[in-house]
Amino acid sequence: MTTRAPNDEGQELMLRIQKGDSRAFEELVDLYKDMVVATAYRYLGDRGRAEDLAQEVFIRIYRARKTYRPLARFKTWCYRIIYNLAVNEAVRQKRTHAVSLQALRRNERSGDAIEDGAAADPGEALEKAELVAKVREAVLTLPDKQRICLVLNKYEGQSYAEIAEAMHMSIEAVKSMLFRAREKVRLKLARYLKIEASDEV
Amino acid sequence: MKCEQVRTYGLDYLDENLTASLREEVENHLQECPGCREMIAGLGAAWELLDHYPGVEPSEDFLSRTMASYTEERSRERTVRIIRRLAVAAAAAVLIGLSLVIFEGAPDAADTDRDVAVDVPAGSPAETEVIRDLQLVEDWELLQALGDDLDMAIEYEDFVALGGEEAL
Repeated sequence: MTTRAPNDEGQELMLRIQKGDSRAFEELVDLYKDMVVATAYRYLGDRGRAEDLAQEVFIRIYRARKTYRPLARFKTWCYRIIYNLAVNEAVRQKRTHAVSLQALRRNERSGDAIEDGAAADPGEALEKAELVAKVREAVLTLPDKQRICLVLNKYEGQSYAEIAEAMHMSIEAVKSMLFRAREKVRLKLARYLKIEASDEV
Repeated sequence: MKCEQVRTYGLDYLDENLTASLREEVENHLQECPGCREMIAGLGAAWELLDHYPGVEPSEDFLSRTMASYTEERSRERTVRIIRRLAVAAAAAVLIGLSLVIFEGAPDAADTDRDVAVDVPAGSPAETEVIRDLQLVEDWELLQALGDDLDMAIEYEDFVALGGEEAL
């Protein structure tokens, strides 16, 4: 039994790829590359590794074409592949927790990250850069499942039900993961929360 | 309501997804419990702070690099398909005793080219010609390995009878 969602372009393209349509694969990559790279980047914290992983995701999708069945939304299936590969990647690389301020500045100068608002003066810029680094660190130091749940919920706009489907978890388990993730982030960024609170007074 | 229950309902409370009565229970607890009050307020504020983790867009050449990987993958799959088809044909030839597989040259002239960038229909006369020309299965060990992959037993006596190497 299939559950082809209306207007699920990913499902439609996969079915064309199954029939040997090369053009369909290119369309698929073009359509979903932003989502896959962005998700991989926020999970891994490094552009190079994120793009390598994203390429691998698309090749895995291609390899799975013969057994593909549109049982879920294409994006849901995609998120699962991203997570599985990202976890393997993290284990392989034994990534360290710290993200140095210098590394962050290098990334920003090279255009690694989309600017989320330029600061008016150097002092403000330094504070902002430090905050960005701390927020990144707070996310990247989360355990695997908490991190992916947070990334999918916060940055990909996925609902608890959608995350549950992607991660093969119950909705209650997703909510528990998210609560714990957000609690860890809160504690990690406590100093900045106070600053933010005083700024708003 | 106890603190543990506030933790359970915390996300739904922040999402404004609780029934009116549950919401009231949570808010009554928050009025009495500074710890939970700080936690709930902090969860909301931290959620906003997460906006300070910007994303990235794919590099300009990401699509072309991925399509290059795709082309390599298709080539790899084609090579595997050819070798498997040839192994099937070779094993079938051994089983039915036909000289579809030709063993040519002295042992030291064995063709080690294992990769074949040719796509021919399985079981066709063209495939027979490809097998004849490629000297792919001069190597007894390779023939065995290919046969193992396909669960086909290839007897050494048959290999020799068809002109294979008597001494390795």
